Amino acid sequence: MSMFANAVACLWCLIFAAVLWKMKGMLRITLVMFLIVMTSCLYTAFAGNLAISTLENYPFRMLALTLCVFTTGLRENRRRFMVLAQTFWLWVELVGNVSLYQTGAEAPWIRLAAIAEIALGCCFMVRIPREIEFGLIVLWMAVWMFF
Amino acid sequence: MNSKVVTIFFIALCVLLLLSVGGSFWDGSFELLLRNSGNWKFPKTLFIFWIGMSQAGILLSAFLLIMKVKIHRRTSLLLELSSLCSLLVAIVFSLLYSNTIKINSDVYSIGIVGFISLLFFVTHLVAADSAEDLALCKELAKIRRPLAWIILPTVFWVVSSFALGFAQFENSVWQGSFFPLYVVACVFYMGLASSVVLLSFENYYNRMIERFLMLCSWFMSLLFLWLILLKGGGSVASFIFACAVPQLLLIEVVRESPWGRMLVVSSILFGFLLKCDFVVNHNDFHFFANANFANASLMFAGGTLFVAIFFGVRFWLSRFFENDEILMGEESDSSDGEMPDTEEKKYYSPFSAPEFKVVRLPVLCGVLAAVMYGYFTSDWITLAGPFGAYVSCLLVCLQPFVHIGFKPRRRAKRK
Repeated sequence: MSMFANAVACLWCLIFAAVLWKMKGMLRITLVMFLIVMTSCLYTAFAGNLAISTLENYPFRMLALTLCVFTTGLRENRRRFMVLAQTFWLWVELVGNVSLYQTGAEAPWIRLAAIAEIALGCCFMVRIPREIEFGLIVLWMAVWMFF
Repeated sequence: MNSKVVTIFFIALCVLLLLSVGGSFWDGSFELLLRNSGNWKFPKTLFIFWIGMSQAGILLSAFLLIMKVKIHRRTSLLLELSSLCSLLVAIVFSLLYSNTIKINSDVYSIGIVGFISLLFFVTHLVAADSAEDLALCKELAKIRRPLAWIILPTVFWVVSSFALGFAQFENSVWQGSFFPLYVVACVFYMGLASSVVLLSFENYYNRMIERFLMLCSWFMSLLFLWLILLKGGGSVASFIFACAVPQLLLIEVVRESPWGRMLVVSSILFGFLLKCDFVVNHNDFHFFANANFANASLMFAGGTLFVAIFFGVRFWLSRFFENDEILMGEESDSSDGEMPDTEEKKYYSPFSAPEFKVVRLPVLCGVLAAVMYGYFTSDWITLAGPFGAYVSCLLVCLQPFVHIGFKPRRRAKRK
């Protein structure tokens, strides 16, 4: 996918997270997540070439990024869910890339390492302040766009 | 538990099994059942289905525990027990049709998850048996969630590596970055469906699980459609049974009736059986086109075996502990064995939560064991993770006994 399409996907994720922040209740959040996955699938189908196997899990990577941004707005158990969301992102990336690696494709190890490091770093954070939250969102966006 | 319904269901399955075996004489497919030639692929379909079921229960139970979702203890116990029984059925199939079902390291990792599931289940049972030893129960209750923290990623690892291995060695059509993710989602959905069935036999109905099943059916519809879009085809029949039929739950009459729920959930499980057949044969109508009485016999044999083992163990455990109403099966709210979360809103600084204190040393040992295993065998993908989890779980389970063993000595020293 082109850099521009990646950037638009990132913007979508931020919008999705903003919508999720306004939702209350697990069932409503799950319902909105369903709409998010549907929109992400449609976006990937229209903006990318589905014949490229790296795009197979693109909607779920978008969902993972959305969840990561969403967890910065949580009031309780924020660190726990932040690490869980990043672990989900790492799992989607890792499993997808291992599968492609078995077919002979090159895996983006830097991206994987970056996500793992940020997740590990989050484990050490005490009462994450607003500035750090913003920094984390920027870091995730950078990982998404440039690696 | 409704033992009359279970008995009728079991007898009905036995009759169907006998009829289908009789039918296999009639259509000449009886030889398939006896001959372990390796040409008949249906045992592999069933093996994959039961392996999926064996991961589904434990995955859902651990997930709900980690997410602190309040469910009745019987639900998680039933899920854990169903996991173990499904694994036994899968093992029986692999032993009977060893030429069709090739055993490799993926299956060993599933065996490790089976052992960890057994530990998780036994811990849960003993922790529930508060009449016996209160100190031991409290100690075991403390390690339940830490165990779930180890089990959940292990199940994710094992199911993903199973999907990767299948795509690599069995059918290259499934090689791609989406398939492992899809398999894990299917397993989770199967867990929800099986929990509704198992609770129905207990005369119990969990509205929250039913809502999640409904929501998950929408997610699964998306994943099915996405797969069809990616691969240019998918099992349409499976989509209808596993994703379209569950939409009947939107109708109140179906939702409120136990028969309606059973119909929907049976349809989901049958849909996944069709999906397994599609994954093995990559033909949308292979299941129906090659339908014979030998296939039906094997299907009913698996079902009958599962019902026999599951409800046999269920009855045996009831008698053994002599407090059926506490263990599982009764509807009283007071029988809920979940520990109250009094410390839920307390803030813990990094690496200081009680759960982390329980798992830190075992997980460290597990990681070291996994690294050593990976270094000596060069198998980093399939067995290194489960082996590390195995070591960690064993050490976590030893902790309560160590604590209880040291407590009297400490008290004696203080005196």
